[in-house]
Amino acid sequence: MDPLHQFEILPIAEIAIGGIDFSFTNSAFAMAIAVVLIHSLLVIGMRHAAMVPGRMQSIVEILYQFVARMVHDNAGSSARPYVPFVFAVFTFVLFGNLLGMVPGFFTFTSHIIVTFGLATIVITFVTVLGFVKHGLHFFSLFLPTGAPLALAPVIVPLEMISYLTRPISLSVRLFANMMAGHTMLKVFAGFSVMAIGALGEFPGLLAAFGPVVINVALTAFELLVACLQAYVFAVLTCLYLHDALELH
Amino acid sequence: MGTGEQGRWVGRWLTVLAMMVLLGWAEPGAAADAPAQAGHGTTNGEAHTASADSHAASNAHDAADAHGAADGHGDAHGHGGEHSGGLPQLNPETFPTQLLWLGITFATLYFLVAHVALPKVVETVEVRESRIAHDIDRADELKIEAETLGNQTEAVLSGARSKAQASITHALEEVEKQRRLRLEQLEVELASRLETSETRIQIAKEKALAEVQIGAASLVQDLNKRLVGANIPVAAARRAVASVGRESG
Repeated sequence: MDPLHQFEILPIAEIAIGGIDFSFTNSAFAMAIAVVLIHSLLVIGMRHAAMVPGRMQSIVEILYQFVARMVHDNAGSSARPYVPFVFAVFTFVLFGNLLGMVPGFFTFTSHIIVTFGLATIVITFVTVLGFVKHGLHFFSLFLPTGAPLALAPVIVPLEMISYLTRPISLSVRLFANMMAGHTMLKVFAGFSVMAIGALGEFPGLLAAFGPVVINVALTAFELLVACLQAYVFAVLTCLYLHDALELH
Repeated sequence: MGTGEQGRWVGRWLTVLAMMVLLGWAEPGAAADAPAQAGHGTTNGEAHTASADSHAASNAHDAADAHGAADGHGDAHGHGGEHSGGLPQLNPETFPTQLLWLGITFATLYFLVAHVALPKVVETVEVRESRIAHDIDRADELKIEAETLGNQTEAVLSGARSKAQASITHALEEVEKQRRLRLEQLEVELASRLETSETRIQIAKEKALAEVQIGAASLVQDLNKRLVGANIPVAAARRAVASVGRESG
């Protein structure tokens, strides 16, 4: 009945190194499944790569071309070598979100530390890339072209803060969306159980039907949110890539 | 790849996924759920009947509190010690393991995607795209070729047409010329024939006239002899007839 019970981290294999808990948990299990599923999809889809694709191959190619086009449109053609990175980010979040829609399965993207970790990976990747590409010139990112130099003491700190808050906004958006949606589902499911508990079997079962109908709609909505948030995460990754490559 | 084979693969993977879900549900959850749910049955049930109205508004808080209480009551089985109420997301004890496994799984995924699985996809898509581009180029070339051929045919056709037109005009002119020539000849011939006919008619007319005069003169002689009994010489008779003929025209 607790709508937050679904977010609990439960160890499957307990591992502790230096007194710190590194157990293989239901969260780690879900991540591993996501990786296995993504890789299997790619390998199985392309096992008999043909000029005219079959169903599985089409799924894989559509997924790839979707990401490739997203990178091209948002980060420019110079970002082409980083399509695999965006692809990994997008599919990892997408499969994490969608696996969470399987009843009883753990949603690892509903944990702020996971989304924050992912956002940190993205920002680190992008920042390192920026320094590799432009050296110290990368810092010109913090002073928009055309801004008067006199305003630099104001603008540079602001731009730096906005740059540094990127992983926070990126991670909180995904985490909040996934957690809110999943909590809603469980809360409405809880209403059904409560109705039966409070009203007994006769009017209770009828009353319990309302939240179920709402839950059906919410599930469809959650599927949309799951795909949309993965897309948003990937598009923002592309935009940060663009910043690092083009410096505005 | 046959669709049947694909179907079998999808089925196999779905089975594996279903088994994993069941395992994920049963393994740590079952052990932890049993006592926790018993606890809920008593504490939460009471809480609901007591504050059924306010529960909807502050569901999350109530539930979390009740849960905390249930954990406190229940024996230290399973997740009892893992969190002390509140959001499981905000329990820093789970941060190291989540970050570690995120790092491991994402690094694995990136390696697999970038170096094992995706290159083949990229290659297939690019080969197809270049093939399509090549085919489109070829089609364009063929189209241009067809257009030039069409233009050539058109040119040949129009040449032939104008040539035919010219020869038709020439033939018509020739016919017209012949006709006019023939007409002129005919006119000349007709004119000459008309002339000869007219002279012949004139001669015949004069001859006839002369014969009529001779006949009339002899008739005059004859009548004179019979009526008056005078013999008139031929010359006088002829003169008289001629003068009458002149008077009467």
